[in-house]
Amino acid sequence: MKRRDFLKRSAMAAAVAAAGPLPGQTTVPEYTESAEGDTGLEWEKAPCRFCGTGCHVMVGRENGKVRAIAGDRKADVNKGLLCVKGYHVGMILYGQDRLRYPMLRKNGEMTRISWDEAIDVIADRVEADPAAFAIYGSGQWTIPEGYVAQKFMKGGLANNHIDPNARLCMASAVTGFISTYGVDEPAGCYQDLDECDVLIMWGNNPAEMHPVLFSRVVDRRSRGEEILMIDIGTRRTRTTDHCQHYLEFKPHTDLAIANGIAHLLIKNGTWDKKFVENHCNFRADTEKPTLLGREITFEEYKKLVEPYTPEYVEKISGVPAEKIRLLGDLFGQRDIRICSLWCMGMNQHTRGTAINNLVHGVHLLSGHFGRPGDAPTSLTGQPSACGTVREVGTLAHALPGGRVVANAEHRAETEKLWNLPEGRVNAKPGYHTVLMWEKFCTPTEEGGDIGTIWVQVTNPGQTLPNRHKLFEAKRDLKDKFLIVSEVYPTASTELADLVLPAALWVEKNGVYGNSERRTQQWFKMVEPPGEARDDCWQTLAVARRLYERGFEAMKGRDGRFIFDIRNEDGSEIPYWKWEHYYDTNVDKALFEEYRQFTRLKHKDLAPYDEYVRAHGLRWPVVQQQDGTWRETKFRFSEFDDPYVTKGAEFEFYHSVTKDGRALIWFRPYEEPPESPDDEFPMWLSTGRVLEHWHTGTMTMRVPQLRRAMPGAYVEMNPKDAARQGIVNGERILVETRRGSMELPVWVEGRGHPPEGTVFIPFFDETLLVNDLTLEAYDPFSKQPDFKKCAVRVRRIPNEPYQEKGLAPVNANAPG
Amino acid sequence: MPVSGLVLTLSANGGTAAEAISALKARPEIECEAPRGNKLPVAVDTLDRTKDQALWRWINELPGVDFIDVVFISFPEDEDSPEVAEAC
Repeated sequence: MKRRDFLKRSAMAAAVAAAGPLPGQTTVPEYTESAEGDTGLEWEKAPCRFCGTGCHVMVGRENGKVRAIAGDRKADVNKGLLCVKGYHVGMILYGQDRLRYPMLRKNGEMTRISWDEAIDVIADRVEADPAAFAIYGSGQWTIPEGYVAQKFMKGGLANNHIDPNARLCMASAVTGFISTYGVDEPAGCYQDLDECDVLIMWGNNPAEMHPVLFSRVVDRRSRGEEILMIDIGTRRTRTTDHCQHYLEFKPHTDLAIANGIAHLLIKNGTWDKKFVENHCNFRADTEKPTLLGREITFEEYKKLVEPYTPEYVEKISGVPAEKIRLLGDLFGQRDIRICSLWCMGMNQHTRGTAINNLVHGVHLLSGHFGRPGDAPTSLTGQPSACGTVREVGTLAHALPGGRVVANAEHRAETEKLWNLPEGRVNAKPGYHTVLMWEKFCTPTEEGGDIGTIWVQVTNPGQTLPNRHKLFEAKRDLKDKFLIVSEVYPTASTELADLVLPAALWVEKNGVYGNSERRTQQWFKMVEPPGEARDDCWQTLAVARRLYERGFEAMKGRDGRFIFDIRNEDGSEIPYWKWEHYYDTNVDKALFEEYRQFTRLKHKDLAPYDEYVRAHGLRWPVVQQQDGTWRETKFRFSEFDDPYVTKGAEFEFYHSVTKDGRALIWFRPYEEPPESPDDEFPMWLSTGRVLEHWHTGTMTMRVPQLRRAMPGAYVEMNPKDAARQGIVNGERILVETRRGSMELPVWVEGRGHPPEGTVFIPFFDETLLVNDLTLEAYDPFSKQPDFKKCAVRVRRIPNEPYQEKGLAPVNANAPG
Repeated sequence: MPVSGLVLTLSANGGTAAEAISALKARPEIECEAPRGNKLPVAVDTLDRTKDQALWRWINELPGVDFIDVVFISFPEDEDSPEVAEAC
């Protein structure tokens, strides 16, 4: 049999295995046996490199290259299924313009240098002004990569100027969880999607952004189960097509909708009195809003939501009063289970923390919490936004394991675990993302006190809002220095002074943490190209170089290197020399050190080797009497969470009010920071597309994905287009107060914005929509609002649109 | 020339689902197994990546197919360079 036939047989075996047994059968064949036996491919597990779902793939390799990808049927997350991006994940390694060598800008030209010189250049920048050195990281960092960067900055340089790109995608979810439950991350898990009766998407498009999760729900419906799906959005998407109800709201008014539901629950007497009396307290804003707010009674809360009648909410939001009543009635029913899903729509919002609080509050007030299927659940866009950012704490104010720099006890614990001199960790939070880049792009003599930023595993040149101000302005500042560790050329490397080639995905060891608290491990499977090296090694090598120069910040309290890793015989392992990096499992050593931090907030992780054996484990992972490790699916619920006091039923054991209760917040609707006006009369919203992951750095190197969606476009409502005489495919000028760009129009395309709204995706590095976006951010989470600002569109005189603009329209037409 | 394994979620409407299966079976690049409830396992073998993508889109638009999940994909060695070079 030919190799190709073997592969085809393997493909069918995988499909049969994932589809399940025939009626009357109890088992299905294992595809890997067939594949290994017949094709000679070696198979190993890894989480997918893309979104926060955390699908597991089986990676088939041969002759040192990834040759096949299969969904991992043993993985609980995806049960063998993958989406179109996961389907192509193996190909992201093999774009021909992979960065292969360190490059330094000398006299304006990028010049190849050695790693030794590159490490020296970074060490020089640190030594010259450690207080002005910053790291900008990522929710795509592996847990060990983020942990090393975190310790380097907060345990070493002690200026706390480290922040991740996750600030741009889920920081409001963090502040929402913390101010509601006292601790971050969802209580439930993906099983909620399998058991809910009602699924409400709040500004969320999982059909395109988390398709494997969404397919779990579609599958239930296809099997004849009745699931009511409601899309509360500002633009029709593929998700809307699957929903029975679409509630289109005016941008920013989702707060009014949530308050309207609370109003109805109280007015109708359908709020869950027992749940609220036993497990909740109430909070409202102080005059100057804070994350702690002020204590209020139920009666005060009732008065605050009283104005939010369905008619009043309709007036603010545009959602018909009857639809608000529909939501109120659903939440008022105790015999159904309701799951709320959200992602960027609620988080990229200048009232992001507030709307997160309100959606949690609606679930708490109605008692739709803590049973499988009854859950407020946020999704993340990056594979380790939870693991590396939220748990390792790579945000500018945080320390590992849910600690914060402002807390003296947390600092002392951290110093002890890191073997640092007392007082090393700085109590002052570092600069959050927008502030960090603003300081970097401001002349030093005018207070721009960030002189060097080292970017790892992300592309701020494309994703920062108001790019001209927060990124491009660096171009004219000769004393500022940008270091970028990357896998491909990007908008960020284009402005960099030093570019470091990085290993990607299965070219290195790694550990990720997905959206449902699941920690996932994988091993290096293939070599990176050229001289590309692990990001983790890069940071460690700089730390070691500084240590060898006698830089005190890299020494612990006993004078040892702060990243000291030793053999069993006590001898030091010289892993900072690249040729010795894989002499030991550095990831394992770092993970075991980090694991000690995870108990304080009951985010307990198991030993590294447990993750080697498992397909991910959801924390808290608690050791049983027989020595085995048990994961937790439903936090705060007695039936599953071992940390809940027996007999309590539910317990929020890190409660803000320290009484085991969660907080139901009142947060009022407020006007957005910028709204359409006479000059800029429309809304601009930005976002992602199915085919491309974030800035397209990886997916635009996959020919199928690039061809399927080759360039950015502006989605317009047909009435808006007709009003200006704009036709499909025509290039038009899109302008905000911050910038302008020309884009082809897509009318009646994949998404359907309402009149007065346009949508532009951000994946295209040749059409950078963040030249237009607003950098205004949520006061608590510091997360910018990419979802709305005022915009105008105009025709371009004499534009030969029919030839130039049709690419996205044609590419997506049925084949 | 990718070889892929897909699981198609068929519509609850039996008639449309049956028509979808017939249409799929009529394509020489597609091999269908017996449906498992609403799940149809298929293997797809196309001559080049362009055809693969077009076929994927065609399946996606096919009435009676609610959702496509991918479970297996291989990319044989002989096709790395030209396509990737084009991409960059």
